[in-house]
Amino acid sequence: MTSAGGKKFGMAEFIFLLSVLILVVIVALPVILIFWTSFIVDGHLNMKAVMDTIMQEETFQALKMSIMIAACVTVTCTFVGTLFAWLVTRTDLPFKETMKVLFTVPFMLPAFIGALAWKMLLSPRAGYINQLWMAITGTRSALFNIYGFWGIVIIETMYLFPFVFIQVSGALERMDPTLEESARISGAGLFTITRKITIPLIMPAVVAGALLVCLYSLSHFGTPAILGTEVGIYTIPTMIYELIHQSAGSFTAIRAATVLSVVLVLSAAIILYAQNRVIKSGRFQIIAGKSVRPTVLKLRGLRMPLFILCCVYLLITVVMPTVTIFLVGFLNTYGLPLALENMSWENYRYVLFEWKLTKDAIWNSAYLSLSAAFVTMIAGGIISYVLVKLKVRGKWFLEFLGMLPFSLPGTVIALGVILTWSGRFGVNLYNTAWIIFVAYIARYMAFSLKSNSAALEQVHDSLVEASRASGATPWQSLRDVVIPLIRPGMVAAFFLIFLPALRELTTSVLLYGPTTRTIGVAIYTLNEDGETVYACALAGIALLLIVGGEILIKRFFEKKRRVDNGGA
Amino acid sequence: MAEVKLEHIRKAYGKKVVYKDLNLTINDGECFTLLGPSGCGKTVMLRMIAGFESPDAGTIKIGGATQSSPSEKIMVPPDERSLGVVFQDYAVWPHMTVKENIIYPLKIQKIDKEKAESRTQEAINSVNLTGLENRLPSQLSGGQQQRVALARALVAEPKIMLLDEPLTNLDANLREEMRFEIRALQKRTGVTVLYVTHDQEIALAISDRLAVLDQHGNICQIGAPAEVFENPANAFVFRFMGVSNMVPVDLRGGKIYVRGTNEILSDKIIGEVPNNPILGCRPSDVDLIRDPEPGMPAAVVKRVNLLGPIVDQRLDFAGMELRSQIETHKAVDGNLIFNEGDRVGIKLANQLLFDSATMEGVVEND
Repeated sequence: MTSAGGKKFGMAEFIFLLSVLILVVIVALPVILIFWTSFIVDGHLNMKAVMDTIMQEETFQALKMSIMIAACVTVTCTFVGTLFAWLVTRTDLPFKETMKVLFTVPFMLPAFIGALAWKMLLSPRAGYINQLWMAITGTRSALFNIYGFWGIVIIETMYLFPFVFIQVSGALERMDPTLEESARISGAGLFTITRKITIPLIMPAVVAGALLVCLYSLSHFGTPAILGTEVGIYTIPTMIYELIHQSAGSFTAIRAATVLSVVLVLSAAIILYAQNRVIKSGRFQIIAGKSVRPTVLKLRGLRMPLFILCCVYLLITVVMPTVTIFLVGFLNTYGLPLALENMSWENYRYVLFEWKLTKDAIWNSAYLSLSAAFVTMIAGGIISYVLVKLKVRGKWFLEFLGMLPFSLPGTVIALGVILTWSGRFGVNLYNTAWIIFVAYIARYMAFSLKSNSAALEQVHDSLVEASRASGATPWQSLRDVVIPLIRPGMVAAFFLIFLPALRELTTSVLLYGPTTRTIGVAIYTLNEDGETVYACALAGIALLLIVGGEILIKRFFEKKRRVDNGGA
Repeated sequence: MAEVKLEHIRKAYGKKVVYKDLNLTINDGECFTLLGPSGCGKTVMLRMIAGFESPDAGTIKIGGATQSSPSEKIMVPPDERSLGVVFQDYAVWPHMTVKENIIYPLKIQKIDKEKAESRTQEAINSVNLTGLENRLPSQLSGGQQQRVALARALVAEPKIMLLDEPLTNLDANLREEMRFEIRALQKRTGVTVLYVTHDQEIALAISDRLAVLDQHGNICQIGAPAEVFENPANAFVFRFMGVSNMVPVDLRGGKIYVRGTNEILSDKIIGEVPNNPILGCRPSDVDLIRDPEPGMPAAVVKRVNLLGPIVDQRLDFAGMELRSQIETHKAVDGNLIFNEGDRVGIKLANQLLFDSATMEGVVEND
């Protein structure tokens, strides 16, 4: 009947410790080992060695290149993203609603598959566009060489600009139009309104989106690996990959990789801190909450040209690369003209049903992303529950640990799990699927925490107290009240993890073993090995899986929303 | 049904002490109201009785059985206390229909399905929600959600019902209607009710007995509504029970003077003589006299508001504001609606003398 009050070890303490344990093992330990390996030499703090590594020609060049690429990509994405966001929300562009959806499509396409497609279109000699150009003009010089700095910047811009687009179009839509109207009533012209009212109001959204792009570009592996490595251009992630793969475990190489990782982690932390500040400062300014009908600018003579610009942009960034991937996947041999007589289903059949390497890759990606999504969803749910709902001593420590996953780029996580799970603590997972599994959990924990916390914050304490007062035990309350209410958040977390994990490259490329290639790794290595048609066939299959998955999930959530709204 | 007894309860959050040594008994089957300003710890007391919070010291007993007692290491969890709780924000589960919400306590108790169904229907009928059984809370108005919460709290026939400001979020009409319904339900079922509110009107209307708490969690007075209203224990209770006039006074030779003047407010003193006397009286007890006689206390009319059934007139009385409220038809008959700036004589009926140190509640000696 009665139980001891006060200091006993209850459910709260148990799941608190469990949460701490999960985050320490999965996230904190790898990071600590990275810092330890880079700063401590022979048991002493050695800053000089760290500086030496950074100032080394190779690493310094990689650092410089990463920063330059990230800076350029951020600028171009901000421009492109803001322009299109403004066009689809505040002008009379035709088919605005459809265009708005279409502009988020590049988000679904993995950037490295885009890079692969553009390599086939614009590589200096074999690229189809360059060949066409040379045939038409009769010259022997290419129209554009995709390999190199500008190629990387352009491709990353194509696939990262939705970060800015989504943030800014959201802000523009939610912005209270009375703010602009009152300026107009005060006699301000359109130009003044834009400069004095609109731009300051959407600035936080623009900056938040730009910082996301910057963060993503800094830690992105695929595009610079495909378009840079060949011509000797390295970024931090590709340099880390190079160091790990070429070194065969040499300590100097691993240490250099950890130093670069430290740089990545610190930049990520700074960017996220800045983003937090910007979002906080912007929250009170914009926005009256509900969608409102903002004043629409008439484009007049520019209406059709701008519409055509949008269509051409989508054609170039989405349609052309996708079609190229599928067509090349049909080719019997890479290099043959894209004509029907050179094509068959053979590559797709071979990749799907016969070749062990690709079959394994599909299977590995499928079960790794499914299981990682499931486990991360549950673990993130438990941790969020402690963070949002429980009052336990030492919670600040968990809050600190919970911030960590947000600032860990995929490359850093991969290196961290290598350091942690290669036998140092008596467990050696190297070259097994398990090491990718733990890396995925660390990589996607942030998504799960975000989604679950948001859902839990909607569940008021009194709802649980009401069930306790009705006679339900803590577990019964959890089962009957809390879990049903946060289920949509958990499902969202699952898909937020499952879909990106399905196409993951940055992390798994550092962790794969002979039988544990993922889809991303298989496409990447096939391309490296010159098996271009198979790489394209597999990429085509991956695209179908990804886009199909996205559509299914959107349908699912839209239907759910309709049901929920039908109730209101 | 059961009696609730709180003995020597101490509760603090960090440095903020909510209760130092609280003693309170809620009798079996009565409707007891905790009335106090927001932030005085009423909700904390309710949560301690419910078992959501544990006292730092002291004992809570329900029906004679100890529920919370840190010194004996007893803390019965809320689900074993046989409670019905209605929260200020209703706390109706949004993913369950009206019926699923109300049947839940019976399901947890594993009551036979047919019996549970019929009891649930009874509860639904008793709060006038018949026909809305299969609606989701999002399809109900605030008042209907409130009634779901009430039915859910009642359905398992708890020993005690705890209601935490359940009517504050409702509009005035609905508030009155629900107030009546809660009272009727309590009479019919005989359950012990603890009602927490800062609204003295509800407290007076609903309670068998009520306790008035001051800002610091001290109990100023416990009693029946009429008793508390007519004989407030101190200046704080008097002021809390409604609009009030407070006039600092001197007591000399058995007479009450406006402080520092020779204007006599009363020529007899009833009851104890406090240290720093202050005189309280309700606006309805301030009589106005046209053309005051010399020597009579007088004031200047500052503002006149006709509020329908009553006339509210604000006066400047020796630099203090005094409010007078007269029934409109009486004011019209007696020609007692004044113009701003008029000088009027005043007479204060039903005077109550308090110690001005008790304006904020119980005087603490530490």
